[in-house]
Amino acid sequence: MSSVKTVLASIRIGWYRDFGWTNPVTGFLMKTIAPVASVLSASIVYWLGSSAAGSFDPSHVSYIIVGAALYSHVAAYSWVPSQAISEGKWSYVFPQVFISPKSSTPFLVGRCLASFVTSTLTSLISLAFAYYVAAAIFKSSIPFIVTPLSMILLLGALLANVPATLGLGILLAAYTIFASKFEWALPTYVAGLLMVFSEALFPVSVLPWPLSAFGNVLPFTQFIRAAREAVVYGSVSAYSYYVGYSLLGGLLFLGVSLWAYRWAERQGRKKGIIDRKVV
Amino acid sequence: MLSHEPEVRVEVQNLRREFDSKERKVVALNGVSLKVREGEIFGVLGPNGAGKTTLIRILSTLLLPTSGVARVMGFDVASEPEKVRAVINMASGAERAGYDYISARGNLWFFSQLYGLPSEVAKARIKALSQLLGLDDYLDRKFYMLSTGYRQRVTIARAFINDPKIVFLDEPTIGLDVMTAMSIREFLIKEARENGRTIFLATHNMAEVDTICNRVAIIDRGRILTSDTPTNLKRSLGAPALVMEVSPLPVNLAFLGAVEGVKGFTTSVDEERGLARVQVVVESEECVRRILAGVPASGMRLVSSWRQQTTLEEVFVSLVGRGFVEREHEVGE
Ligand SMILES: Nc1ncnc2c1ncn2[C@@H]1O[C@H](COP(=O)(O)OP(=O)(O)O)[C@@H](O)[C@H]1O
Ligand SMILES: [Mg+2]
Repeated sequence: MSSVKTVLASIRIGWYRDFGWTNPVTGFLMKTIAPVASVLSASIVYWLGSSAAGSFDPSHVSYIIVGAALYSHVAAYSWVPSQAISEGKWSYVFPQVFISPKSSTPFLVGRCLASFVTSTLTSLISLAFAYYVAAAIFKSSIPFIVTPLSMILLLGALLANVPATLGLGILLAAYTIFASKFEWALPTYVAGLLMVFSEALFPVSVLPWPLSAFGNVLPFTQFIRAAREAVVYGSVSAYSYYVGYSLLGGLLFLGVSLWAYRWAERQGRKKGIIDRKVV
Repeated sequence: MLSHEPEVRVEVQNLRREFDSKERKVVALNGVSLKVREGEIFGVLGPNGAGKTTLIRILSTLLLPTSGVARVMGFDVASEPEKVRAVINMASGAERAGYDYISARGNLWFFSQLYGLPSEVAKARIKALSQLLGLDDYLDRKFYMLSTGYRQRVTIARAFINDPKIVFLDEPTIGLDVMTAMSIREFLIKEARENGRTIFLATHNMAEVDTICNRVAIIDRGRILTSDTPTNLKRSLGAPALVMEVSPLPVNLAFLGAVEGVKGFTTSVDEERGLARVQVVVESEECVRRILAGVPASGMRLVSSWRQQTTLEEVFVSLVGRGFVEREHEVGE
C-alpha cells in the first residue's frame, strides 16, 4: 500500500472540514475576504503614501498587488499542517492518524495540499479583484500581463512553490507536536515574517545586512519574483531562473523539514505528547 | 472451535514506563508482563491511576516504554511501529476521534482510507459494522450532532474498520447508558468469537470484565497482581464476602485489621441513612463470627449483615487490602 491513498483521503477530508460547516459557496466567500482585504489595503496604503509624496507609479501597484496576494497565499496554507495537529489533538483525530500504517506525514501533506488548492483560487480572485479596483480608484492603468502564457507561468510558479511551503508547514507541525501554546498565533507570525523577508511589499535589498541576505536566499522570495516576471515584467528567462531556484530550494527545505518532523515524532513518542494536549 | 493452539498476539515482558512530572518521578508501569492470544477478550482491570491507559498507549505505538519489551504479532512496538500499526487499531472511550462537521460515514470513510482499503471494501465494511452496531440511521448525520452513545458506536466501528487482528480499547463504555454499553459488549464478544479477533480491554468496570472477558489481569500502581479467568479468580477466594451495615458515623474499623482471616475490606458511606456499608473479604466462617462479635466491642451498632457472592471487587480487595475507591484516594494523596 502506498501513501498516495492517505494523501488523497486527507485532501478530501481537508475540503470537507473547511466547507462542511456551511454550504461551499459561503465557505469559499469567507475564505476570500481576508486575502482580498489584505491585497487591497496594501495597495491603497501605497497609493495614499506615494500620492502625498507626489511619486505615484502604477507599476509599483502591480508589484504590491502580486506580492501581497502571494505572501498571504503562502501564509494561509503553510499553517495548515500545524493546525491539523493542534485541532487533531483536541479531537483525538491526530493520535488515530498517527497510529495508522503510514502515520501522520501523508496526512499533513494532504491537508496542506487541500488548502493549497483553495488558497490558489482565493489568491487568484484577490489578484484579479485588486487589479480592477485599483485601476478604478487610482484612475490609471495598472500594468498587468494577462495572456494564456502568463497565466500558465503564474500557475507554474504557484506549483513550484509547493515544496517550500510544505516544508514550512511541516516545520511548524514539528513545533506543534511539542507545544500547542501560541499555535493559534502562528499564522500571524508567519505572515509577518514572510511580509518582511519574501519581498512581498518592498525589495529585500532595503533590509540591513544580514537580513537582506536571509531574505534573498528564501525560496519564497524567488517564488514571488517569478510570479512578478510572469504577470508584470514578462521576462521568461528571469522567470525560469527564479522558478528553478524556488523549486530546488524548496525541495531542499522540505527534506530538512521532513527530517525535523521525524525527529519531533520520535521525541513526542518518548515524552508521551502525541495524544496529549500540552500547554 | 480452533483446531490449533491459539497464537500469541500480544506479549509484554517486564515493561516499565516512568513520567517526569514537576515535583517527582511517576512510575506508571512497574515491570508488567503478560501474554494475550488470538480470539481472547483480555481485560486489564484496575482503579484510576493504575497504569491501564499507559499500557494501551505503549501497545498502540503512541508512547515509548522506558524499558522492557512489548511485541504485537511478534513485532516490537518500539522499533517496528509501522508493522504493528498495520495489524492493530485502538479506541478510547473518553475521546471523540472525529471531525465534527463531517458525517459519521465521512469520518469512517476517511479512517478506512488510512488503511488503504479499496473503495468498495470500505463501503461494504462501513455498512456491515454500522448494522452490527445499530448505526444505520445515523451514518449521514454530522459527527457533532450525534449523542454521546452514538458517537461512541461510531468510534467502536472505526476501531474495527481495518479488520485488525488486535483492537485496544480504553474504557470503551465509560459514561454510556446501559443499553449502549450492552450492545457494544455484545458486538465485542461476537468479534472475538466469530473473527478470532483479540480484544485488549482496559477498564475499571468490574462487571464489564466479569461479563465479557475470557481472562483478566488485575493491575494496581503499575503492577499486575494476578491474571486468570474471572471465574477462577472469584473461586480462589473461598468463602463468600461479608457485608455489614454499621452505625453511627463516622465508623472506626481499625479492629478489622487485627482480626485473623480478614483479607481486606472496603467501605462506602450512606449519609442519608447515617450508616456505613462495609464489605469484608474473609477466609473462613470462623473469621465472620469474630468480626460480628468485634463490632459492638468497638462501640458500633450492627444494623444488618449478609453474605454476598464474590465479585472481582472482592478479588481486588483481597489482593490490595482496600477497594478501588479507597485506592484512588490513597494515590491522590
Ligand atoms: N504524561 C504524564 N505525566 C506524568 N504522569 C503521568 C502522565 N501520564 C500518566 N501519568 C501517571 O501515570 C499513572 C498511570 O496513569 P494511567 O495509565 O492514565 O492510569 P489509568 O488509565 O489506569 O487510570 C498515574 O499516576 C498518572 O498520573
Ligand atoms: Mg485510563
